[in-house]
Amino acid sequence: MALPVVEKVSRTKIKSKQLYWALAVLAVIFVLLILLRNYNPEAFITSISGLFFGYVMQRSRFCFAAAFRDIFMIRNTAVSRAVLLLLFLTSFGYALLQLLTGDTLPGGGIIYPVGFHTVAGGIIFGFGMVIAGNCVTGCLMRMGEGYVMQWYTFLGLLIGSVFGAWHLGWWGPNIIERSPTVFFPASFGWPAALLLYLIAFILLYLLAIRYERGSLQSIKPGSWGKINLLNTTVNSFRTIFSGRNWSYALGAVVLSIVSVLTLYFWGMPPGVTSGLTHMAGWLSCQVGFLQCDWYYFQELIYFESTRVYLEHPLLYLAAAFVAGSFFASLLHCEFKIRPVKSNKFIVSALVGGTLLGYSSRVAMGCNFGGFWSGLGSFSLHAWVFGLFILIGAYIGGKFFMRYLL
Amino acid sequence: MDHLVDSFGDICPIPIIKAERKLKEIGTNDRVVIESDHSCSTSSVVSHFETKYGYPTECVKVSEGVWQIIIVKTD
Repeated sequence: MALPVVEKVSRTKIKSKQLYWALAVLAVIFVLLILLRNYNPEAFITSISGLFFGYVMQRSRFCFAAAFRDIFMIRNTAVSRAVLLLLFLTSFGYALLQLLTGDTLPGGGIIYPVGFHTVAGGIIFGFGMVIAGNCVTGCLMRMGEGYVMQWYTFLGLLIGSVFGAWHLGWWGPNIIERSPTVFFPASFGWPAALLLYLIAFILLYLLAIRYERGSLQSIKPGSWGKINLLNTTVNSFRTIFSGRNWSYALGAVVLSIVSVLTLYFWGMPPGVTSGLTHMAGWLSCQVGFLQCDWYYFQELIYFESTRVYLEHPLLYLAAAFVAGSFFASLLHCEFKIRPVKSNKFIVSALVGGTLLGYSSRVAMGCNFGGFWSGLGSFSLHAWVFGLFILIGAYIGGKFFMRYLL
Repeated sequence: MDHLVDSFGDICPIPIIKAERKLKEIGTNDRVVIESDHSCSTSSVVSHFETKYGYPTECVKVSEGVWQIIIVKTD
């Protein structure tokens, strides 16, 4: 069947006023940050970190959902390998902080029990991520870019968080409190833990290339000597200021730096869903859906901050994340209100979001705090969570091809 | 010849799957032009067809938040 021939693509520069809007948004962000500084100093720090996360994720199109899903759905591991780089740099960055300051980990790390809740949470999270089309950070990023679908996912996230936090009253005493916590450096010492990580990342990286290309022939160790670090750095800075898309690798490097700096300045690694849970939980007890004395708020509150509900620092990180992405998309004239294509995607966004929210509570974190920061904190739970997200994404991919394509 | 793939409102990885299917149908030196408002595809589609297939791929912004990604089938 002959399709319409595409007109010669116009390369004229697009006239757009979005740049001015970007400057206005930046001004508003500055004013809000100044107000926040005295009102809630912790949220001041996490907000700055959220702005950077949102900006960098938008520019580099970094996507945890793709890292898991593309392996099965299009046999591509480009994003997966970037996530491996991100995890490698983050964990070695956290270890360096620990080495320099001596009291960062384990006290300030995301080191949680690993057990059946991690397995169940991982599978549900992986599945939800594929049918929603994004992970939790991807959802926040797209909300800032004007995707209406992700606002439905966000609504689902809030609903799922409330039910997840409520059900922790069962998961907590029955599963989580009976599960062991494994912090690698405490088990084997720092040198062995770092070596273990290094070997794991190299093996996973090679495995990803082998899986995608059928062989390792594309790796030519001889060419590594020709990599000029100075040129790479200069080119990276050029990309950052040129308005081009950042490469996934550049995104991974900058995101890991922001993560390490957040740990340094805030004292905790970044995350996001617990902040959303505090908001959703607060809202639900305002409307009288449930009492506020759930297990989640009573027993697990000490993990991140003494500031709770609407003052939770990670809630500010989430809001700043959306703002950072909104600013980045305006600055590059990419903002557009994108309506949802069909009702079926509204349902998949809502259901996927709810599953993401619920599983984030059960597994004690999403792809951000639970997986990325948890893995950086040398906790076994993050590896197990990641493995079962992978299995969930595989099942989700099958479902997607059958019902959503 | 150019073959248009309408990918407006599609979530990842639908643009890539649609383009792969279209590329199978078309002849050598034909081009697939994906029109999409999905920001992530500006990286993911280009990277997929350049590195995995070795096809020359280019992404052009046609208006605010809308892109055309042009893939040339070289084999």
